Amino acid sequence: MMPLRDLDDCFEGVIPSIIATTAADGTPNISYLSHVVMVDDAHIAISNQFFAKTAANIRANPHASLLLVSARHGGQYKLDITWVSSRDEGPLFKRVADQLRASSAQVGMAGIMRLKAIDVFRVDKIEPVVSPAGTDHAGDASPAPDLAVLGQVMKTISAQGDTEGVMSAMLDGCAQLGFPHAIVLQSDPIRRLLTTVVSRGYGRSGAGSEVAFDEGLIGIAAITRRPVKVNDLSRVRRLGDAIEATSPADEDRTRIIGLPSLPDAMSQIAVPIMAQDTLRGVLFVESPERIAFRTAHETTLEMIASQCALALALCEALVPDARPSALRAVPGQPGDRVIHVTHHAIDDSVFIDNAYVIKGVAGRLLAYMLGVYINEGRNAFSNREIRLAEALRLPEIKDNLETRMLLLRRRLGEKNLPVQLIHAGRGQVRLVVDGLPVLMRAG
Amino acid sequence: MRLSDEILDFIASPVMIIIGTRNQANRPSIARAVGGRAVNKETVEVIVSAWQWPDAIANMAANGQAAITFARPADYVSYQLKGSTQLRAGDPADLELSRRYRADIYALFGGLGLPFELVSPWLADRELTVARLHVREAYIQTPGPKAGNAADSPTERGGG
Repeated sequence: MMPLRDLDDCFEGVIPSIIATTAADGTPNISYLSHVVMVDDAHIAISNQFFAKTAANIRANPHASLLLVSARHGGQYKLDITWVSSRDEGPLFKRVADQLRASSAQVGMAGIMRLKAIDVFRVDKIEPVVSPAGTDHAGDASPAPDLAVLGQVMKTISAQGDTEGVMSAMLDGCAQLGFPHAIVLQSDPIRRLLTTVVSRGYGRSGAGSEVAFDEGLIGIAAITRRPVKVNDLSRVRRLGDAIEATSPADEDRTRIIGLPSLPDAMSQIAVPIMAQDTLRGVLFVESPERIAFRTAHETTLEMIASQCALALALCEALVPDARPSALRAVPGQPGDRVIHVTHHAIDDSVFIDNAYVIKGVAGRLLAYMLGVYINEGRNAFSNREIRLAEALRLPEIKDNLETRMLLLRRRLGEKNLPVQLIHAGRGQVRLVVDGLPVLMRAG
Repeated sequence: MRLSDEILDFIASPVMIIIGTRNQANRPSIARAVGGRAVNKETVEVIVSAWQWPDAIANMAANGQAAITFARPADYVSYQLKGSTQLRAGDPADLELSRRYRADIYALFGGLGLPFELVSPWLADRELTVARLHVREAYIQTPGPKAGNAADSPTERGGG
């Protein structure tokens, strides 16, 4: 029997599967299935939210027939299956429920398709259906990413000494594996959202844009801590469509930065970035190809994400334990233009010359550094000093300060503001201000 | 039973058609049809490639039992009909119906972004055979709260 894993592109939910069962009296029943999941090489599970007759029939006669269709080439496979159990809890149930939730969220039906139970079947026989196209797809397993390339990507990530290097290496790695459109978001468990730090392959970086936990693929990957993907967006609402339409003027009004997005994306995957059982962020990758993310690609991106998570944790842990830099006079002659900076305490949002910059912890960091710059004339800051600064009241930032600094740096760069942040060696940043900043605190 | 005009029209429109049959051991088998028509209010016909789906044809020849689901890909509206079938060889009118059906389905999926090559393995035209179904039961099968309801009675369940 051909292994089920060779049929992995039949399980993408792109082309519906079909199940036939029979009642005790021999009356057949046939229906489409919203979801078929490969459990292992000999078992599949189906979610059967609506069709009571199928559920009743398999309890009377456990032998059923399943038709799977390859999302890649349309080839069909007949499976003889036997019902073995029904589950409404446990890891397998949760896995199917999470995947269903992700696809429902993508089609704007979040919360409607609540999974009650799954039925698990043993696969007794797999047979390809003859095709008029004449193509024999037997043994035509999905192409897998190149291990040598993956190995090089892993080495490059582990060689990096700072957060920016790790994230760049991760984005480079995605591109080398054929996925040039990717976003790295950092998790903020206190505000229950993710913030874009860096991205590659978009017109703008979107640094500072936010996605709530539970929102779309990215949010669901964050709360379920497992990869979620959609491999055919031709008919579903695309994540970010609504917010992509926002302009800088909207940003100033709403204090919301749009997530970058690929207008013609057909496949998307969100992979949690986890280390020591802690969510650090999410890697989001999209592609204009249909069925771009097969099981092997998902595994590959998971490996890259975990390598990245470890490297990021090490960067934070190994930051030089230097004392704050000595007070340093601001070098050069900044312009004499007045720069109006407003810090709103309510959400820590910061506006520079009326343009929205950032909010949350990154906003608080920026306001703190500008305050020190104005009051003490100092422009160099160490991560250690910031961690210890009482004024920042920031217990939650100790684990990922470097990432927040990077996102702030990217956002200031993208907005082309007269206040910029530059990397000044490991664990050090320098504020470059072209003008005379005036800091206003507002509610 | 008598089918509503709505269902009769639906059957003849470009919808996907799938057939469930079973053998003597009560093992079910699946097939696709490549065209359908209403003969009268109680009888419908679907066209099946005996070359692609020999098990389903053998099952219907042996015991006649069949369940046929008609589903519209654009919005998932679906009906399932159950009853007994009789088989006959396809005649030129059947071949013409099937040719038009396949052209409509290619166009429909093309509009949904699925290319010809992906769809063609589902639409075999060899050894076309006609299964005439005498409808005994009809059910709504559109995913949602009404799935499984009898098409003419909102309370009876049994076809989902």
